[in-house]
Amino acid sequence: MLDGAVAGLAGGGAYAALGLCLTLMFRLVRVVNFAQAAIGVIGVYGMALLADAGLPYALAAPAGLLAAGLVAAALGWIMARWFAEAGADQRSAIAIAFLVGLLAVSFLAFGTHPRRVPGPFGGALLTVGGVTVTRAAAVCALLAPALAAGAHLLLTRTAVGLRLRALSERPTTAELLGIPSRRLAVGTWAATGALAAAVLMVVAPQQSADQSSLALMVIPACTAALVGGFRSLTGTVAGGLGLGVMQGVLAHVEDLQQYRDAVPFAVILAILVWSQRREVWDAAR
Amino acid sequence: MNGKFHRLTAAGVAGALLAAAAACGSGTGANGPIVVGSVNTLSGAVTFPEASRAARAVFDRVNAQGGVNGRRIEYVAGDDKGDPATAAQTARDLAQNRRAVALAGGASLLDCQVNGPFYQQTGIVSVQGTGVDPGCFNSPNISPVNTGPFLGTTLSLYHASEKLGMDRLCAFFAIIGGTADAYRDGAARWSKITGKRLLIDDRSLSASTTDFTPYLLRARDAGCQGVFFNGTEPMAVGWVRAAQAQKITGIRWLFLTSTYTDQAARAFGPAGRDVVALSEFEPYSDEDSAAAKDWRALMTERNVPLTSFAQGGYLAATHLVTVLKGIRGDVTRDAVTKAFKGLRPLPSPMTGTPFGFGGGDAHATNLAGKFVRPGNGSWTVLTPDWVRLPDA
Repeated sequence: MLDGAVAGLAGGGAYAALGLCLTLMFRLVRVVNFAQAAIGVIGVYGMALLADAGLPYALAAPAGLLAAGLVAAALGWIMARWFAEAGADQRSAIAIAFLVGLLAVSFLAFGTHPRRVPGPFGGALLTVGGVTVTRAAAVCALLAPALAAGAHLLLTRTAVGLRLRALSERPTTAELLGIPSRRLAVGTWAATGALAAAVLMVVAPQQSADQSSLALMVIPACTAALVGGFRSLTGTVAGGLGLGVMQGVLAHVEDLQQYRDAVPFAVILAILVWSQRREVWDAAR
Repeated sequence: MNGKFHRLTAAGVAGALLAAAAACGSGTGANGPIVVGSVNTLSGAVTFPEASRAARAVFDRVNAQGGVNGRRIEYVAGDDKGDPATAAQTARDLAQNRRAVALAGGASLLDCQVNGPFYQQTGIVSVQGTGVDPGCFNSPNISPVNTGPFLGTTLSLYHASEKLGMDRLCAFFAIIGGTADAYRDGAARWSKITGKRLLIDDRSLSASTTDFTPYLLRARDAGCQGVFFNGTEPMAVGWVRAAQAQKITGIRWLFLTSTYTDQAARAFGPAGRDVVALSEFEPYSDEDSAAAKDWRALMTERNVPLTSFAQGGYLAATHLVTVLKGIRGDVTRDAVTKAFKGLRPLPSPMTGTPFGFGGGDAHATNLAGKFVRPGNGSWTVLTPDWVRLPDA
């Protein structure tokens, strides 16, 4: 069972890192970005395509990140241009449309067959209790807390962070004070888009890497963000890693195999109920 | 005056409609083309375009050689978009508007399950080029030419236990849609034939399972010699990648025909050496095969990709043409259905067991396969002779 827990850390790290992107997007630009992982897929497949064409990884990977960043920026611009005044619920619904659209574009551009995704983190790092901890797993598990710390520092210690926070707390006031809201929003989209691509580039070489399953990694990532209430960065990291470990452990418990997909959601539900325990009905609603 | 004019117009329109209907009728009459249809998943996330393209190539060749008793075959390949409502609509269009005499060479995610009862009701038969869903193997009016994923499970396990001599076999199933029972039955049939049991029988994976590492570790710790996994092509590639990352060697990975593609062979890379995949037909990648010579030549000539799906489409169309040519009198839907219901098994060098239809309630007549292994971006045949399932 320890095997499973260690093995689950890799997936957990990826969920946490993607969850952080979601939390930041929700806090800063008021959207649950369901297209987050799909934007990353464009980066990963763009990189795989270039690598297939003979470009060295050191050039293909930045090109993939750039592609994801540009796609995200374009989507962010659409959102900021036409849906600036819309609420988080409407913007999130539009993000679902982005997800469907991006998947369609991705299938057209890259085909439906699996691709070989090269990666620099292929080798084994160490062996713990019979489980080989791959370098990718270690990178993922460490990346998430590092990202959370980085984002925290950015938001609390820098001028850009201050403006971003102003924009998320009081958008209209911030804009009236001359903060370039559209530019900052597009920048946030681009940065989280490239980040999502980076996360997927680490995990894709070692798992089922077709476009739909990668794009749907946004679901466990949402779960992670939900544990943090779409606000807390620490909560998101804990949620992501916890979910990964739980999935790994459950793979070894034969009696629960029929309920494997449902167990994480039962746990989330319990956490939500617990975290809302002091709310009275109207406030909680 | 005005009323009279209206009546005249109405009569004129009715007359025109009747004439048009008569023209349509003659389209499927004694001298018009014989309409054959198929329902396929041609657009969406998962697509199967080669089967119907291969079937069309067969029908085009028959037409170029003078048709069936002088009548052309008109082939209509409909797209169900992987959507049940569209699949139902497409089947009704083919059967009712186009007046197809039979369906052949289709490959769809859900055609059989959605339309099986309708085919029975309308009395039309379907020879699936590639039967995917469980409905393809339990309808009196559908007979697929391929083995399918469920009997494929039985066959892969049978090959591993009886031909490769593995005692410790494990199986993991990713369940998509309502396939859990069909896979359970597939494994149970193997147990019935061999008297053996699976060490691990886990039917709890799903399309959303992306990291297979915990399952691989469980299989390794249990001491499995061979692990059957029913995942689709990208899932199987992910499975092997995860095994490679965990440095698991010495376990054979047993995969279904969906993994037997050139793209998968390339994507496996060197880690593919432990993979054994099922080929439901004469292995398409074997360029020297005499059994697949005609298929290969025709597909190359018509620019149809050389895949297992293209073999299924070709076989289904070929069997239909054989049946159509054997019909004495007018080729109508009733005549075609009657011919299939009384069909004697049709052998083909491309399958290990003859194709059958007959009057039974369910049809699954391809009970054989060959096994292949990836290497250097292509596949090599491990079993030159057919591995056939004994009756159980």
